[in-house]
Amino acid sequence: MLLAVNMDPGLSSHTMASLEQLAGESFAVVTYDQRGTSRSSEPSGGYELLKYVADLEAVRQAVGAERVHLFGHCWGGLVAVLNLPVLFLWGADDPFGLETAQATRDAFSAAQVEFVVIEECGYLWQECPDDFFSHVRAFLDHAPAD
Amino acid sequence: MKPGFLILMAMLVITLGLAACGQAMEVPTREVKVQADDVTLHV
Repeated sequence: MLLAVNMDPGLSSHTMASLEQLAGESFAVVTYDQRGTSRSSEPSGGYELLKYVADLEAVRQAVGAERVHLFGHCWGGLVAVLNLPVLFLWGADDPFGLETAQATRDAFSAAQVEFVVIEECGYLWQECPDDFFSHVRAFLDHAPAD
Repeated sequence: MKPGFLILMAMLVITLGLAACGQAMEVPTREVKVQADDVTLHV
């Protein structure tokens, strides 16, 4: 199962819709609207980062998966960062530049970070070449979950 | 039969074939509400 957390917490999970192409008979893709966004309700407890992490855990439990693959885009990666191993995909044309990518990668600190730079790819992975999905599929194949 | 008619028939067959293929490949989806600590999440 792939559990996806979208960029910019103010956006809905529709930005992750094209991940459905990774789904199959034995592999589910799960997305959700983050707190206070789109079809999810307004939270009574605010918007601290750890609440987003708790929401992610609540979704994991609700879908009944003991272990999942997490897919985080930008902010979504921050929400998912406590979980390893990590496939770190970075578009070579991303306006923040490779130095930012390397600093972010180092923030993962320890083990099991696979870092890949994708050519002809910018900030929006949805507009990247199919090469993007090849890396995701390969990662899913060698790091199985439920 | 006239060539125009044959072309029309061929286009019809291709269109119906693609539509059937699209339906066969469609992945089932469902939506649920998840109650988290202080918020209801749309999944």
